[in-house]
Amino acid sequence: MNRKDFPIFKNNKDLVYLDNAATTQKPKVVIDAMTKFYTHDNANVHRGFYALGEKADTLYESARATFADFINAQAEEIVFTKNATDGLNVVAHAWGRSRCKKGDEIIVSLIEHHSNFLPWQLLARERGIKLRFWRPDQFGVLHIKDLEKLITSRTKAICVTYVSNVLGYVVPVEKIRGIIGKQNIAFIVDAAQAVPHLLIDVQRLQCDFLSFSVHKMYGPTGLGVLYIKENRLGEMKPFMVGGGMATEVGVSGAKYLASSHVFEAGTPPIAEVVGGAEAVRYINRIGFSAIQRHEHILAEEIFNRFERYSFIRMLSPRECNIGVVAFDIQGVHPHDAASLFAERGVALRAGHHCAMPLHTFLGVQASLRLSLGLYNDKKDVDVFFEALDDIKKIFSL
Amino acid sequence: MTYQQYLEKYKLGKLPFEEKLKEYTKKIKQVSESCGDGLTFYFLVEDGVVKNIGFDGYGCFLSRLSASLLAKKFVGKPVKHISEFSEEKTIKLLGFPINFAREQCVLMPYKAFNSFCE
Repeated sequence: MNRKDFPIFKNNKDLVYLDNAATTQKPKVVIDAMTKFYTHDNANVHRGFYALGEKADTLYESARATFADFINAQAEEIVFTKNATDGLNVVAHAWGRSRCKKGDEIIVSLIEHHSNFLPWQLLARERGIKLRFWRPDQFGVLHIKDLEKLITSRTKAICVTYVSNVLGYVVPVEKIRGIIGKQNIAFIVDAAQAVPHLLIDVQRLQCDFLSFSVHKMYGPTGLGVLYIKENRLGEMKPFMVGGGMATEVGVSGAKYLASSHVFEAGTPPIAEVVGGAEAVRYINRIGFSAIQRHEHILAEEIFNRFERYSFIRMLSPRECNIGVVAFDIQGVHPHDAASLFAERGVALRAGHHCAMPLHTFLGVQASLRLSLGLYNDKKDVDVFFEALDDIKKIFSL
Repeated sequence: MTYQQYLEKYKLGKLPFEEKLKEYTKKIKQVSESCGDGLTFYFLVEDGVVKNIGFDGYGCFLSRLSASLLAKKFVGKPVKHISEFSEEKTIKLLGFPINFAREQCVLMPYKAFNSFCE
């Protein structure tokens, strides 16, 4: 659907792009919005007392409101970051360092992307905090009952992804606040893989922090969004300091902004923010129900057709899958398979997908991963399986 | 031979020299920084001459092919020939083009050979 909106496919006629979990292609409206900013409106934000400066400010702040509406938050709860990783590091450094001390516990799932794993591992090592691991079942699926057992009076945070970046299933994150109850535990969500597929509602989730990258939702690279629940802001200390985040600076000290803007030190990626807001409007025009219906039909076809291949080890569960499918061609190294797919015009990803603890848990060194976007179609699926048939022939599988 | 022809020839089987040596004078474990794959190399050297080379472990076909071709090139040769080799020559040894992303696969065995000479 809407393939014609994406210039990349006009310029790469035979491209079968199935690497959307890594990054998505950009619709013309997003590219145009960024070009228009540079050709018509470019100025730095904050205190440009001239027409262009005011325009840049207006565009920047209205984009914040657009992102806030997108996830049902308040504009002042939105921080622009570099990407999902950056946002999660902000939480670990600015919140974690100020609120977690020796002996405290942080729960992290074993299916996390390294971006929601390493910041907590680093913090734990620095501060003598105990990491407790929410382990999945033998198929890599997380269950709420296993999380419940890990929560103690020392638990300070629960860090979990909304959707597995390898296995593609939706984690039941909506049940987490319910089991936390009244205990003061920060609920931290990595929504990088969820944001192009699911309508995110931070009010319904009742999470404290939520981070995602805009390039995975048809927007530009270099931009992420971090949601900070209003009442957590006071618990955080700025860790990256510089321009645009201080109210008073003297030789003996400084005072910082009380708002979430305190985490946007330095000139932000303004054109990317403008382009990102356009990506939100693009998604909203199509609607998540249409996107999900389309991707679900393709994912079902992929799962069905995979069943005909005895040499495939399917790693992704079919249930609650948003169209990210990890698999292994038994006996064939994923890198070799990915190169053979590439020679046939199919772009997919091979490796550990920055989720080494999960791969170790599943007992595989690496895997192949195909991931859908809204512009994929039946022809893409056909070409993928034609390439798989070729690989079958090459190795006499 | 092309990449695909090599794959069709060896399929899922072992490549020449892909075995652990019972007798060896030096063992080097090499891990790829980019993907975590690792091959272990066994060198048997007598009087400054490479008598035999073997390797085993987990690696993609390109890394194993590169290891196999390097072993074939240096068995029977003086050790100093290895020290005169280079990354560029290792990539040329394959005889078919590879894209940049996979150069690490091909160079992983060379790093073991290179550290063997140090």
